[in-house]
Amino acid sequence: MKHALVVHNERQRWPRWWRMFLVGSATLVLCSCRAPHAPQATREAVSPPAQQAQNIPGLPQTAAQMPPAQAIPPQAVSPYAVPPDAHGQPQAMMPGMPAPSHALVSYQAPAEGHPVPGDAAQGLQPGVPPQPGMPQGAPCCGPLNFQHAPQGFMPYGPYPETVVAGPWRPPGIAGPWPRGEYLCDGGDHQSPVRVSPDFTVHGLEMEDTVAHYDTIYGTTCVAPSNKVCIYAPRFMAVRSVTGPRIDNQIEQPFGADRSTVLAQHEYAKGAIARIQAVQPGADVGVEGPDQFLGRDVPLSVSTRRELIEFAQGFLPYENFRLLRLGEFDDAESPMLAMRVQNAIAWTHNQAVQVLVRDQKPASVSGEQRAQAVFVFDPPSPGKIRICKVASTNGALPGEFVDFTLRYDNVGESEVGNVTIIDNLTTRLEYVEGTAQSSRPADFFTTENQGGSLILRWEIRDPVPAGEGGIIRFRCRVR
Amino acid sequence: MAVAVFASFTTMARLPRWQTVAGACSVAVALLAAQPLAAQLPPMHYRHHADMPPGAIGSWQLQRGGPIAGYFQPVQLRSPSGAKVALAAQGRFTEPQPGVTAGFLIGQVYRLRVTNIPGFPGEEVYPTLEVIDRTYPPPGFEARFPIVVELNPYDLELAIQGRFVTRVIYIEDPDRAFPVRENPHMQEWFDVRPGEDPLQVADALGRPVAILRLGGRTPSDVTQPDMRFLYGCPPFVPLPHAPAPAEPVPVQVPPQPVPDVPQGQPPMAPPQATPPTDAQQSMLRGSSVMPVSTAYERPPIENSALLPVQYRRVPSVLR
Repeated sequence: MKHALVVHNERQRWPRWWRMFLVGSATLVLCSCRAPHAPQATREAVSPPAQQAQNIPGLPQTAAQMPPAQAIPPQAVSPYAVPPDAHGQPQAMMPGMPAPSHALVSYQAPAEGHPVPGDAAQGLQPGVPPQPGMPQGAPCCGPLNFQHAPQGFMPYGPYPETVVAGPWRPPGIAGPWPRGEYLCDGGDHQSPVRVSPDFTVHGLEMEDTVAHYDTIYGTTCVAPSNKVCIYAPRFMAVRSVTGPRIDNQIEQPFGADRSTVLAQHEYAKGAIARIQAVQPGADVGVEGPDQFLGRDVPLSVSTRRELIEFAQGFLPYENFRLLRLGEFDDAESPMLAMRVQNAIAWTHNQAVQVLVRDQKPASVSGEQRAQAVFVFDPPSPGKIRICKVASTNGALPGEFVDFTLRYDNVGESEVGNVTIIDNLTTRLEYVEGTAQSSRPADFFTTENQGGSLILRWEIRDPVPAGEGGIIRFRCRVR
Repeated sequence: MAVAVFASFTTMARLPRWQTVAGACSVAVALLAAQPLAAQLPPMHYRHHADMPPGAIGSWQLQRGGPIAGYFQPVQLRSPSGAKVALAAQGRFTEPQPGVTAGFLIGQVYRLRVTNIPGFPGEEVYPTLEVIDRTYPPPGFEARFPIVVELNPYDLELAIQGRFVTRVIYIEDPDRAFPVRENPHMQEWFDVRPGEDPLQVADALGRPVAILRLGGRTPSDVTQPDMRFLYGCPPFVPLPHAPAPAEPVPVQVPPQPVPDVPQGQPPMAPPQATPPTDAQQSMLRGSSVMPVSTAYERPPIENSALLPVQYRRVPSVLR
């Protein structure tokens, strides 16, 4: 009765409709497919071009205040994009018609006098196309942003408000897109590359390009390179051959076939053994034990001492980041100073007495502090930065592409055992005899699981701080 | 919805409030955990089949949206040696050419005529081409990377014999690429097994972009234009045709010798080329050693006097 009364009171404090509203609201939020967290690119894609121009950080004020027609030029005429006619259909271009004079070149760059906002933001000259083979996301080479590419080749699709410079891709998807049309090489994908003490490399996958090295402190580090993508689609075909049935005509059904289902399935299993029941011939008595055996336990003295457990984590007076994490926080300095003064007050008269051969050594007095920090700044370990570039950003099957790897020691001390490893993708075929290195190195190749090669350069000498080298090789696009 | 049903059930059952809230939270967590599992195994239901009427798949693709409506996708039609291809325009076929490169609309059906077929004098084949998707090359690379559609002589022979050949051209996924060189004279292809849909097979290996059908009907009267047979002669943009290269042509000059890198500060770009030193040349000549696996033994470091600390690591032993 008491429990029922408590439940009744609880239900009166929260009405039923209120509970249902809370549960329904939570359900709606949890099942709303993350609508409030739409990616930034999606929101930018649906904004008009003028708004995009005004929202670009770093854009000069004059450019941001320009009218939309001047800030972003209209869609350039492309030989493959025909403006629709009055009925919304693209105008027909029949063979025999003279090809437009701007064919193949009109979409290369925007018109003069119409700067591209992205170029202005990056300090580039308007209309300068991206350099071929520029890496993406490399700190040493700068990112290659497709949004800043020369605009012009955009069809008159159903999304005229989403027109941005560069090739189209779905909003919210990072380039290069689509993935299947590009050959990428470089970086460290999926599982990170690790190097064991016996120099066994683990986690090296296709397209990976890394450099591992040893520092003067005995640690082995792995530095991945940037990713280089080349536009090189390859077209394949799947064929199906069928034959028509001629001179055959279905007139009428010959009959009906009705499948019957087995109603019951029984399987009689014969006996394989026979057991004869045997009556007991006599009563069997159970005798109990007639004696007890003594068990002598050997006595032993254990001097085992347990360690005093460091339990309860940190005590209340230790609740400082300096103690818990080793990080000094200015906000805690007043409280920390008070704790330090407490330590001085408690330990001033009972300080640790040092005796050297029964004589008290001379000590420096007058400096009362409970702690002292001595800072020793050793040179930071060496660090390899590796950058990869390609000679072109597009190649047909059969063409050659030159790759260049630039590695530098950007640390403060030298590094040794520098090894550059490039696991080529399936469609890149290394051209024999084209590997070069500016520093003395040993070059090895190993077949990988994709039918290509793993290229490996082992730099013989240590690389001092501030120095680097260049590695080159050539590949054929399969 | 499941959480609301659970909450109403617990309310009707007069359970304590904390049990109701805990149960609702458990159901919500279970639903959220089930969503990624369901996303990892999406049901593959293909609405398109390669044996659908010409133009059906392309029209479905146009309804999906995206920048494919009104886009003239460059396509290169390669014919066997000696054969000629003609496109349908304005109710008749154009001048036969050894090969055709043009921009075709997506979703439209183009009627072709192939004549002068080697080994079959006087025979003509009227295949159809349907572009169902486009490529997205960087600006300026549209005409250099057209979709390559090859009129295989074996397909033409089967079409002349009365067979119906469906060839689905797709962009190969680099992760599933065949580790072979592409034959510049013949596009790589393979037959599907009996009962398999070539469109589904192509979709599993890449992204289908075009369908070539051979062995269809022939015009009843070649002297009169039949717009139904020519599928209305959709427009196209003629482009200069580049024949298949006979030999792989390098696009760059041979690699220059690697120069000495100026030291002192990490340069950002390779410097100008300089003649290699004797040590570099001798190193490059004898650097072709192939170990058996990725596990390798590092050679000892020369001139160890430069090293204040030995780089070779010694494994620590716990005693």
